[in-house]
Amino acid sequence: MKSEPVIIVQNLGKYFKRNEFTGGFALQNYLEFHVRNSMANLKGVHSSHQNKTLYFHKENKFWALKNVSFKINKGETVGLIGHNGAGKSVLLKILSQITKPSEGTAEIIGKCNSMLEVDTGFHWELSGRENIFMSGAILGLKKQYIEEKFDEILELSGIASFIDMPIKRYSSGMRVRLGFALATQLKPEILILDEILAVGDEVFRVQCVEYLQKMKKNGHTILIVSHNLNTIQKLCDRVLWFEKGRLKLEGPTYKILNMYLKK
Amino acid sequence: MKTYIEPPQKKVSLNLKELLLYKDLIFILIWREIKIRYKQTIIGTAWAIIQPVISMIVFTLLFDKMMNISSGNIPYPIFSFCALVPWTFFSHSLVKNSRCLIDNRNLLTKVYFPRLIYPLAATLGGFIDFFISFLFLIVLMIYYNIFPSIAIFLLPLFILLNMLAAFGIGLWLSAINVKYRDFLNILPFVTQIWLFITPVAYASDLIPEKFKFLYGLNPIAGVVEGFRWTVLGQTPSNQIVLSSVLSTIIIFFSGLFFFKSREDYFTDLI
Repeated sequence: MKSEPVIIVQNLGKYFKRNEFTGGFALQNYLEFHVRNSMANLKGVHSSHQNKTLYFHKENKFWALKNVSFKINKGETVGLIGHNGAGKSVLLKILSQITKPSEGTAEIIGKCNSMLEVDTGFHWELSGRENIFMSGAILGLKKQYIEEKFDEILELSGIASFIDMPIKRYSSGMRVRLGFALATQLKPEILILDEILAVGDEVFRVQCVEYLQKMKKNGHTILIVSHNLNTIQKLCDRVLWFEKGRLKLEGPTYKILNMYLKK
Repeated sequence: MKTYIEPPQKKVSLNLKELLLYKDLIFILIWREIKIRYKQTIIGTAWAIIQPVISMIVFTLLFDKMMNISSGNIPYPIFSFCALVPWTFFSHSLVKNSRCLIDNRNLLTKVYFPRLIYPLAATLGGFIDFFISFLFLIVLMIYYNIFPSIAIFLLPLFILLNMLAAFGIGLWLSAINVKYRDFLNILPFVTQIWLFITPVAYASDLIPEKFKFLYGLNPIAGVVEGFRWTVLGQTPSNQIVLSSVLSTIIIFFSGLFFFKSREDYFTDLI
């Protein structure tokens, strides 16, 4: 097989600061800490170590992703598996340019679309029709193109009669169907998907998998996160297994899935 | 197409060329901003006129009828309304900008496009309100028989100054609010005070000559002076206009650099 890498990840890492849940320095917390401290001193009790780390330890780093390197070749469909908190989503967010890595680099060659959520860019106050154009533009589709494909999108979504209603009145299923119908119009060279299969019903899932299989057949590169191992098995050529922010294993789907299930 | 991803760099690069790639999106987001502004309201865009008109009526009763504040040779109602047009745009823009990143958190954390587009759309989205209230200003001019002088051709410059000031301050506010929400809480108070230090309800003649430069550091003061000059033909204080232009330029560029230096951390902190 001719291999031509389109995603090259080198030594990627990302940390979050634990104490930043307070949003950084906060006068209230600072005063509270000192008041509590002096109260404790008065009572003759030493303040707990835990309190101190919460507010003052600048270097309280938590590595969500560390030392991750891999390559993905053109036309490959690669699945990312691992438990919650393994770093899969952070990785996808870095590859989608939503957040910056703390170290390492990544290179993406070709037009890339990521769908971290099916209804990306939907605004609740706008109607389904308005949202198709809105979200389409955000995902990089031209207005004219959407106009041409509008009927097709409408039919696939199956919610034609509600199209002029604000989507805040939609059920979650309807929103997902609309988002998916729009997404099928995206034809990027590289597609990054995060758990979008988890939201719909069985019919929807089958539709999604069919769509992805078609994409795959047409030579698109797909990177997908899913907890649904069936889907992974059906679609992926290769699997990357993440654990605690590190790339634990990579290899052919059946081999990795076997080991993953045994664990 | 090649995308290179690396850790945040020390050196801030403005990379404004990237904005051009997304110019369709800028228009779409402005359009969205306008669309959602008056969704599920009864009178919709009429609010754009009603707010400054009510302010004008209250100001006229208080400052003109009761306190007899001088408005020069211009009837007080149009004197204040002419200032309320840029002021309303500015104060709304402060509110919109300070919330623009937080309100769009869903977008910000799910899809990438240049972050600058958020405050840009928040600022320019207010332009439709500006336009509508400006139409009402024209109606008032006809009613009071005021014909603009040749200076009216300079009005676009002051509209630009109005936008740059709103956008510049918006850049600061939106970026700060991602991490520190303090400003959201005190914004109503700040706008209230800001109105007092801007010559909206009174003429800038009231300011002692030696304080005029300092007074003009409030960028919107120069904008108001410019509006009264170009639309109503009232001689502006050059000192105020000059210092407002200076402060706007400083605020705009510093805001741009501040925003750019912070944007890599937005999604992690919001």
